[in-house]
Amino acid sequence: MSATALPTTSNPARFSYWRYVLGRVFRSPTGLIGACIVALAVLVAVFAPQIAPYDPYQQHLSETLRPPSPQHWLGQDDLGRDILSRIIYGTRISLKVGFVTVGVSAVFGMLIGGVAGYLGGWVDEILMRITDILLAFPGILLAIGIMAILGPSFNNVLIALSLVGWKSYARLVRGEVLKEKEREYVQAARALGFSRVRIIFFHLLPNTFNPVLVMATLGMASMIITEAGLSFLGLGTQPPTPSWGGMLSEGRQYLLEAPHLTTFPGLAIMILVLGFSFLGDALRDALDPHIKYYREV
Amino acid sequence: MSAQLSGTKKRHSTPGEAGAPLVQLRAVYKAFPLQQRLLGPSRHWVYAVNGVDLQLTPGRTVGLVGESGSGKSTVGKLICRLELPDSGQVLYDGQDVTRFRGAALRAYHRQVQMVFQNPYAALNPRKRVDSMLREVLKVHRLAGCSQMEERLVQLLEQVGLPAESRHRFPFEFSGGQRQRLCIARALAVEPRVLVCDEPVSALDVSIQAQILHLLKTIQQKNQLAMLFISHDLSVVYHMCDEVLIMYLGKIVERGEAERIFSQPLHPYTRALLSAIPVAEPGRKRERIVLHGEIPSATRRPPGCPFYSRCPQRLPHCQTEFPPAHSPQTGHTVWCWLYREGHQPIRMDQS
Repeated sequence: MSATALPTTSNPARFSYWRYVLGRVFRSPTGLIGACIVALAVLVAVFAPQIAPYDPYQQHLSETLRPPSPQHWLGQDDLGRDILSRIIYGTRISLKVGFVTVGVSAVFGMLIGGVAGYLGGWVDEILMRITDILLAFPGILLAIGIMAILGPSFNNVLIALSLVGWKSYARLVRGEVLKEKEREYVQAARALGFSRVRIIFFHLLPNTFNPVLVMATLGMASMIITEAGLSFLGLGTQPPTPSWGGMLSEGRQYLLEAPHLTTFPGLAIMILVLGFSFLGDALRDALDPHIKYYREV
Repeated sequence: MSAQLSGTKKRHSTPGEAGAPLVQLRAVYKAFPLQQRLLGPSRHWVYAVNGVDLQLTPGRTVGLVGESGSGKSTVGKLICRLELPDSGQVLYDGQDVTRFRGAALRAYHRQVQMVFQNPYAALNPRKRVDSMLREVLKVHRLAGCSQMEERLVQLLEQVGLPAESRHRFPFEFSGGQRQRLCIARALAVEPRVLVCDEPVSALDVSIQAQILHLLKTIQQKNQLAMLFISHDLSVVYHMCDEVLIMYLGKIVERGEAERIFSQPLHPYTRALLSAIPVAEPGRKRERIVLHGEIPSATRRPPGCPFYSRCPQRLPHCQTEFPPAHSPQTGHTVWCWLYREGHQPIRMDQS
């Protein structure tokens, strides 16, 4: 019973899983671009008051619909407000929507999916039928319906999108749990007398985290688009709060004479959504379970 | 690895000195539904375990041998209470284990542990070794914060792993080392019964001997009651005091390992033993080659389950399961041949 030698490739330093994953993300070009866009957006949102050249609410009724100029890089809108400043402040809205709704729906979906998958039987049956009913509606339609009941406001947007979003996480996590729970480490945990709560939260859910993380990053993009859509329809963020969707909506009537009112918020949405999509794709590749872990010496 | 079947081997316990059984299975049945129907019970069942009796005694290792699908693993899971029997009883110290709840159930799980077949799937990939063992000790309140570190190192040393390995993730270990970790996890609760479900079949042959040696050392040191499930007869001969031969959910022969290997009686056992390669060139051996497939476990044949493949079947083997026949104490066979006074076919011509 002598101590067997460990593989020589391993060094005594602790192996950090997330550092390894991030390293893989940054090594792919799209991952690097995506991460940069998202990081930049976060910085812009945090430091909006410092970065924005003008007050986003300040109206200049004598200078309406002005095209881009050295003083106003992206021009001025129908009330003479600086579009660049409004886009910078709008980043806060979009990111808040993305992080809050995706966070709430991922956590809620993991809970529902984890419980349904592990317990099975009638619990699974009931929870999954509810999920199926919600999945049968297009997300935006459901969100519009909920907004119609709750009334238009920014906080209600968060509630509506969270209620719409959790179902796909529940489906995903349930599938992963069904797959994982047959594995022997779960059997071993049961044989050790661990409680169901402990097995679900400390053993099963951490092992379903990778696909959830990928889905959450990609889901961030679709939540941002949905929020913009709701604001465009007048159901989301209310004027004068600067939100990208709302800016599109306000600029719509001047589409021909002043296209910069809609072009720049549209571009902002596109770039941020693209950034999250790139990051999500790179994360999916980096977390691929079929790729073997290896350590560089 | 092939055991030398002809040499005499020192056994560590004889039936006489065996104490009272710690775990007892009495006429245990277990079937699994093949497809779930919306209403009512399933129409198709897999009959995994069909009336198995078994006893585990401290300090003794019982081998359970059978081909895949014969229900060996289900027996192990029934003992660990990972499955509950459909009928019959699983007793621990004379108490029905299905009745255990709450603290009593946790205490039972502390007494009975399992080592799994596939060490690559048996460790949570997201947990470092120390947090895995720490969790076990914490749930069962086996060590306070101050002794925790000491106990971890002690557990790892017991299975022959260096103390530094406690900061590693499972994927940083080889198969044999992982199996050592699984053994350490099982030993963390200081069990009295250890079920080993094919613990070496997923490992390299060169590693198998090390793990078997480790299991045997631990079994003797802690006087564990061990159930050793395997399909590898030479491994079973090396490890076990008593051997049970299982076929399609039924025990067809049981006896002291020495007896089973020197004088196998059941045609199935004889066929199994004839398949062990012997490292002796020039030795003439007649192999009993079985024909036909193992029958589907979805139907329960009324007679001997081995009927369809038995080279010596008798007409009534198909309709009635044979009664037990004990030519000697500590050796029982369930086969009509010995009731009828037939001679079993010869297996070995030396």
